[in-house]
Amino acid sequence: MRKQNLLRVVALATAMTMGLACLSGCGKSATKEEKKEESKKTETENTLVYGSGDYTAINPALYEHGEINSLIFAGLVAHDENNEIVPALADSWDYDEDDCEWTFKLKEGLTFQDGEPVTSKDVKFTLESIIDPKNNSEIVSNYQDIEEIECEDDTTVDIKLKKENVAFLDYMTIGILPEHLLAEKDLATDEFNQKPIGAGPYKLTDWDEGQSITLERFDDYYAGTPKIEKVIFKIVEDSDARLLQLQSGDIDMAQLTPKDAKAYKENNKDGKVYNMKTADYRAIAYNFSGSELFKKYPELSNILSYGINREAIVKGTLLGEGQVAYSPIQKNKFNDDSIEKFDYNPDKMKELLEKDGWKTNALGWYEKDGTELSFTINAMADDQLRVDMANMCAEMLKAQGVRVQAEAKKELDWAGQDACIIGWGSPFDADDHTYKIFSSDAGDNYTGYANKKVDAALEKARTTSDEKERKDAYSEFLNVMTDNMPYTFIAYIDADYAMNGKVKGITENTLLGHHGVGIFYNIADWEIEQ
Amino acid sequence: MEKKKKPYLSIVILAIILLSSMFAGLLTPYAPGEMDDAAFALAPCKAHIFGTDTMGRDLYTLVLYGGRASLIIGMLSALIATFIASVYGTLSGIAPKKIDHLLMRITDVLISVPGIIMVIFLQAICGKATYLSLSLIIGATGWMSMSKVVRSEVRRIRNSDFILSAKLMGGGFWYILLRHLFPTFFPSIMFMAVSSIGSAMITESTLSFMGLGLPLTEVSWGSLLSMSQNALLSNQWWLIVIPGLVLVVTLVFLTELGEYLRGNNTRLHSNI
Repeated sequence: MRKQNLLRVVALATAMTMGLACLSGCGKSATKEEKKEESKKTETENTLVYGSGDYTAINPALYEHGEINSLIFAGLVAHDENNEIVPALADSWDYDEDDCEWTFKLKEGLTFQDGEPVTSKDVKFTLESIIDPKNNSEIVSNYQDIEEIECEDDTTVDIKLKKENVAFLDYMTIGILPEHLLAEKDLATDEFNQKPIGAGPYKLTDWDEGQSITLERFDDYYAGTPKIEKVIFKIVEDSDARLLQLQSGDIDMAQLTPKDAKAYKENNKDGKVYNMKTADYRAIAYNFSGSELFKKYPELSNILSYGINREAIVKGTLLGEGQVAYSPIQKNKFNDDSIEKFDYNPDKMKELLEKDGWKTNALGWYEKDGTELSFTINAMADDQLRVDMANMCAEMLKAQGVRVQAEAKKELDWAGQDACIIGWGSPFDADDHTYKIFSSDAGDNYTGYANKKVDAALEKARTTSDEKERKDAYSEFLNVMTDNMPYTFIAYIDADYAMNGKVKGITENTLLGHHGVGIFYNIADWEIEQ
Repeated sequence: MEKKKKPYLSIVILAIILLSSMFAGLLTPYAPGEMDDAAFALAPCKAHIFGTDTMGRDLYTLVLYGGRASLIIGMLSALIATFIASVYGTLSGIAPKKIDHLLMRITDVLISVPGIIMVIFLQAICGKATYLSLSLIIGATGWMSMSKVVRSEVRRIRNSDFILSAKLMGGGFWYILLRHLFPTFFPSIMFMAVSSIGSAMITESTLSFMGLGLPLTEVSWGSLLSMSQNALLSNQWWLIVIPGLVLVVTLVFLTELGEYLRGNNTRLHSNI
């Protein structure tokens, strides 16, 4: 990240010199240029410029991370302000409990952004693409229960499941892909991922790679034409740079780190910062399959969890904008707050370590059978919060005789590293971001966590529709999880969205997802105040 | 030529900096990584005379301990650079004309590649950064101009009687280098060696600033400066000014010392 900053500065300096040379060289054309600028301004007043992270490919069936999916694509159903399910492309739906069969009825006259109609075949195609193993989709675990998809007619689709999956309706928010553009093509490499076409409120008109993605409103959007004409995702990855661009007016809105959000609040009286709650947590993930230390001593994950002062991390790295975490579904109605929370207790950690056979060696570090209790916590270098967290956790454990180093890495070596700062969390059904992460061998279980009891509890929670039984199943999951912790949970982090005073329509109380994703769910209702 | 005044001030200040880094443990009540969760990003005050960083660590302690990394890397890589330069320069100096030319053209090529790019490249190959790997890499990329001076000194004295007699009496390469050549040319590269401590420290800082330096948990002046990048927009001036000032003061006095050594060791005053 820092290297990029440096590059950016150099690039900026070069651009400025060139700009100066141009100004002095062609003074005459300047007035013309100005006029052009002016006319451009009136034309683009109804434009929202959003400081975004970078994208290399846009495809909801393959890649889950990313805000832009919800602008370009639309699903059968959608989430509302309170993350409840509401109709979207589908008008109505039915569930036959005996056959585990869902029937969705699409709205009439729907079209994709290229004018072709949206039919049940597209739904079938999208879902089949996700479960096709050769596509290697990030979200395949959520759809693995699908047995068969049938298109009764152009607007009716039947989806038969192998067994009950209560979270299934939630997963039908997935953006529908156009079959006519993608049939028989390799989804992962097709140029569609750079020229995506969906049925969402905005269509992609221009993608200047690494610079900006321009979206124009889609007039035939099923919920009515969006109010803002143009949305530009300007690629500004660094939070400091976003802050500066917000202040200079280059961008209208961006997600900032708490430190930058505070600075924006202090210096911009007209601006607004929405401090929004999320279901997005950070944790130390131990690598149980690839790390010699944690493979041999998996009990360490529980013991070390007592050594992290989470309050201090929330205060230090998040400036208080977050909550201490103890469970992966803490913001969900199925959470159980009676489980072991591993509150900060360094004495207990030392006691447990000694009980487990670890002894302090001559250098003051813990040691057992000749193995020093020493490992590295990695963090993605471009996420300052994670870097700070890794650093603080390492210092806390070091103070207790556990030799921990923190490193900022450009890329994480999931197979070989000891531990890293990980982030997950879904604001939707409790099944999302649990089943696919903590089940043994599940798609997003990157750390080799395997616990038969957890598997059984999550399976049970997925297949019972009875609220009470589900709650029990998740309690069971959380309780057996605390016997063998997969992670050391650290904190839930709020998302700070800063914008100038003109952007209207954001619902401040919506619980957002991982990386603060989800704020754009109602983009079609947003307005730019003139 | 007028003899320069001895730079007492530089020596005293550098000695203080060196000693205080060495005895950091005695000079501060805090441990290097100790975090005070009641004191995040505190401006300088009585309990924390340099203030604290955003993780609640005492900046004074960090500067003291950070000096260790910076100074060790600075001196070690200067040592390595001097060693390589001496050997390479001597080889080139005593070699026949053609080989001498070839060796010197190689240094020209190496000089023409920007040092920092080579350092980043080598560090990327090396992977995990440690004191030793950083020193080796910085040392191995900073010896070229020094070796040119060594070479010309060696060429000047290689036919002197004392070298010839040492050779005739069967003295080997290393014997002659260490016993006769090194003491003779060292004064003329001493200032370069000293100033390369400074430039090595700058390189280490640059690497840390770019996130290629030591692990996060190992503090150096460079990593403190990179931390200050985050403080830039949040009015925490002490996180920027203090580590920066310490680094600059050290570099200025190192340069002053190097300048003095250079002034005193021109040809006129060299020992033959």
